Amino acid sequence: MRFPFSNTVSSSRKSHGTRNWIQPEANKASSLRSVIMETPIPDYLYLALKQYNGLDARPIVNVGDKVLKGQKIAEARDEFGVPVHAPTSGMVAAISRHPYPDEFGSDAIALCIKTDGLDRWIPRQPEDDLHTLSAQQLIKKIREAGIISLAGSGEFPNREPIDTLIINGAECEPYVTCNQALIREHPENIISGAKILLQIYRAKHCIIAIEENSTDAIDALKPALEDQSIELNLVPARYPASSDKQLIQVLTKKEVPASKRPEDIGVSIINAAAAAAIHNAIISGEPLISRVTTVCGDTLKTPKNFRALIGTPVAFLFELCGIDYSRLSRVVMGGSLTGITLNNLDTPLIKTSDCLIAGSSQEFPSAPTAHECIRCGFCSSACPVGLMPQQLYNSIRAGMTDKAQQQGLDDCIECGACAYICPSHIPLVQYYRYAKFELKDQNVRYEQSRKWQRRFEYRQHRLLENEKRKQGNRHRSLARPEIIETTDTALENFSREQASIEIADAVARVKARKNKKNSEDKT
Amino acid sequence: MTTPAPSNLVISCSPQQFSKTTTGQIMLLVMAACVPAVLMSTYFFGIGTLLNIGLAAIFALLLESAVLKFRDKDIRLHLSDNSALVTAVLLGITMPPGSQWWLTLSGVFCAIVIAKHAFGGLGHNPFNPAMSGYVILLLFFPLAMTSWHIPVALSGDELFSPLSFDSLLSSIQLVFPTLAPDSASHASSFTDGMAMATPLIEQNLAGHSAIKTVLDADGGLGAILDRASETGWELVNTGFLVGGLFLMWKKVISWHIPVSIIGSILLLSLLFYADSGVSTNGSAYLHLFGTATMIGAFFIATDPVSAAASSKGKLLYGVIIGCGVYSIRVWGGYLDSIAFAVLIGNFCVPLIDHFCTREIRH
Ligand code: SF4
Ligand code: SF4
Repeated sequence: MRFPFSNTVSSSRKSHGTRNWIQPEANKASSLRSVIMETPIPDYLYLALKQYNGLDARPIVNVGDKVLKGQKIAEARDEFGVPVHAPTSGMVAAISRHPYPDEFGSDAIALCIKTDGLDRWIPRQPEDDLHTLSAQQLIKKIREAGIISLAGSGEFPNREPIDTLIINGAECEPYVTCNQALIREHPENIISGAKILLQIYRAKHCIIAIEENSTDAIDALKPALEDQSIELNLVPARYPASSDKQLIQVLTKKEVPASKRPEDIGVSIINAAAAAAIHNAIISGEPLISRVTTVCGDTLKTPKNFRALIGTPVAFLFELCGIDYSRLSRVVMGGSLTGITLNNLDTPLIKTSDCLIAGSSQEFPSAPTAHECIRCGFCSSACPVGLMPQQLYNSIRAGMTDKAQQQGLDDCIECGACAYICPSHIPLVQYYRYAKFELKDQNVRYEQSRKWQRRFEYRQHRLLENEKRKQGNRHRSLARPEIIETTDTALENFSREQASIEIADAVARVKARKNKKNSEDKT
Repeated sequence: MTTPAPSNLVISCSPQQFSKTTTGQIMLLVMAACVPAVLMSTYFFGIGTLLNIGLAAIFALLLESAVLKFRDKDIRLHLSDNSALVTAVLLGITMPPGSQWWLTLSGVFCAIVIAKHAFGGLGHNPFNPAMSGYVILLLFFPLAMTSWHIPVALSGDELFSPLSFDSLLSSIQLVFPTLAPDSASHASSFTDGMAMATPLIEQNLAGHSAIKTVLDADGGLGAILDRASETGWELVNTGFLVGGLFLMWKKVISWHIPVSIIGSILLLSLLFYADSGVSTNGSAYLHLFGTATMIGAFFIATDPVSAAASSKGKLLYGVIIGCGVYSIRVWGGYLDSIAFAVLIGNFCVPLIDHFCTREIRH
C-alpha cells in the first residue's frame, strides 16, 4: 500500500507559516534544463487589447497600416493602463474578436498583425545615464513600455512610500520554470531591473526571493549579487509561496491584511520577469514585446522554455515542441493549480502567460468523483490565507453565500491548495467562484432595484407636486399649497383621496347603468 | 496543420491537478493503525475480537449497500470511501470479544443506519457512529454488553490458552451458539470461563500496573508476554498508542485531540490520586494504560466528522472528553466512560465550531 502523506504535506518548520502548505508534484524536470530558445516569427500575431485585469487599451493604428517592431499600436485608456506594442514588423491585418485566454473561454478584441519576417525595429532610445531621471520619469517610461507585473494581478504598483522591495523569482506552481530559466541565464538583467526599481522607490531593503531548490538559479545569482545592496532570500519550495501576500509574509513576517494591498504596509513586490523587462525598457529602450514562457506537457516531444513574442498563437509554440495532437486532451495556460484551460489553439499568448501545458488524458485525468466532506481539516491546514475551506463549502452548499462572505470568502485567492489536497476531491474552488459571482450578482441586482425604486419615488413625488400646483392654482384664494413633509405620507394621502374619488365615481357609474338597465327592462 | 477541433479539449475549472490521496486511503490507514492493538488482543484474549471485526465488517458492508440503494446513491462510489469498514472495525474492537452475531448485527445497524445514514450519511452525522452503536447496545442489552467470558479449554480449571484449537472452536461457538453440538452444556462451561472486562470497560483501576509487577519480579520481556501475568490490557493499550502515533506521523490525525484528551486525564488523575485508603481513583499510569484511554484518544474521538474543526476547537473538544472520561470513570455510574464522553463531546461540537473559527484580519 502506498502511504499517501509522506511527501504531500511537509512537516518541517523552515519558515513562518508555511509548514502546512502543500507540496504538489512539481513536474518541472522536463522543461527545466532547456536553455531559453528564441522562437521564429509566426505568420500572424494576435495582440489582445486586454493584457491584464484593467481596461482594454485603445488601438491607434488602422487595418492596413504598416507597423514596426516596438511601435505602439494601442494606448492606455487611463493612468493605470499600459499600452500595447507591435512585437515585430508587419501589417495590421484585422482588428476583430479573437479567442482570449480567460476562464470563460471567451473572445476579446485583438489586433491581428500579418508579419513580414523582416523584424525591423523602430528607433530605440536607450537611457545612458539613469541618475538624471526622476522617479516620475522612470515610472512613466516603464508604463510606456507596456510593463505590468508579469504574474498575478498584472498591475504595476503605484508610487507610495516603500520600505522593502521584493523581486519575486519564486515559482511554486507545478510545471512553471520560466522565471528560474530567466534568472539562470540573465541574472544581471534582473539585478539591473531591481536597481532601477530601488532608484524609484528608495526602499531600504531589496530582496530577491527564489525557491530553495532552484540551485542553478541561486548559483547564477549569487556571484552577480556580490557587493550589491540586494539580498537573496530562499523560500521553501511549497505552494503557494510565490503568491504575493504569502511571499511577503514569509520574507518580512508582516501580514498583509485581507482588504489591503502590499503597498499599504510599505512593501512592493514585483515579478522577476517584470524586473528583467524593466531593465530592457530603460537600459535598451525596448518595450515589452516578448516574454519567457514554459511550454511543456506530456504530448510534447521536447518541452522548452521559449522567449516568445506576445500574441503568438499557442498552437505555434506547441508545434515547435513537436506536439502529438492525437493524444492532446487538455491545454492549460498557467500552472496546473491556478491555470485555465483553453478551448482553442489559436488563443494567443498574453503578457501574463507564464506557462503552457499540453497534456494528455493520462497526465490530466478528469477530476475524480467527489465524495462527501469528511471534515478532515486538510484543507484548513493547506489554506495559505488561513480560511476554513470546509466551512465556506458548507455555507455555500446551504445557499448561504452571505455567511460564506462573513467567513472570509472575499479573501480567498483561489489558489486551489484546498481543492488539491482534499481527499474527497471536492471541487472547492468552483464553489467559491460560484459564490463570488452570486454575491456580485446580488449586489448588481440590489443596486439596480435601488435605482428603480428611487426613480419611482421621484416620479410619484413629481406627480404629486404637479397635482398640488394645479389644485393650488384653482383654490389660490382659499389655501396656499402645503409643504410636503415626506414623500411617503404625501403619497399615501394622495392615493387615498384619489381612491375615494374613484370609488365614488365607480359607484355612481354602476348605479347609473343599473337604472338605465332597469328602465330598459321595463320598456 | 492539423489542429484538433476545440470540442476535443477538456474545459475545466482550476486546479487541474489533484493529490493522489483519497478518503478511502485515509480510512485504510486508520484500519491499518488498529493492527498492533488487535494483534495484542488476539494474542492475549483469543480470536473473539477478530471474529467481532470480521462479522461487523460483513454486516457493515451489507447494510451500507442496502441503505445506499434505498437512498438512491451510487453504491460503488460511496462504499469506496471505506468509512463503513472503519466504523465496523472500531465497533468490533470495542464490543465484548466474541459477542453473539445478533448483538454485532444490532450494533452495526445502529451505527450505520441510525447514527450515520439517518442523519444524512458520511460527513453529516453529528455523533460518532461506532460509539452511538455501542451506547445504544449498552442501553438495550446491558448484560450482553458488560459480560465477557473467555472460553476455556473444556477441561475447565487449567490455565486457558486462547490460541489453542479448542478455545478457537469455542470462541466461534460463542458467536454462533447454535453451532455448538450441545448448546446447553456448553453454555454452562462458558460460565465457568474467566469473566473479563470488555475493552471499553475499565477493570483494574484499583490495582497496580501488571507490567510493573512483572518487571519488579525481574521477569523480563518474556514474562511480560506471558498470558498469566495479566499484562494484556496494558499491552493492548500500548498497541493503540503505537497505532495512534503512526496516524499522527502520517498526518491523518492532528495532535490536538489526543494530546488534550490524554493531557486532561493525566492532569486530573494526578490531582485526585490517592495512594492509600479507600480511594480507588487510580494512578495516572493506570488511567492511561490500564483502561480504554488510548483507543478513545487516538481512534474514536479523532473521527473527523463528529469532532471539532479548528485547532482551538479540537483542544477544547479534547478537554471536554478528557474531563468527561475521568469524571464518569471515577465518580460516575457507567463503566464505559469513553463512549459517553465522546458522545458528550459530539454534542458540544456545533457550539465549539461556532465560536472557535479562525479570525480574519482586515
Ligand atoms: S479537505 Fe475536503 S474532506 Fe477534508 S475537510 Fe476539507 S473539504 Fe472536507
Ligand atoms: S482556494 Fe481559497 S480557500 Fe482554498 S486554499 Fe486557496 S485561498 Fe484558501
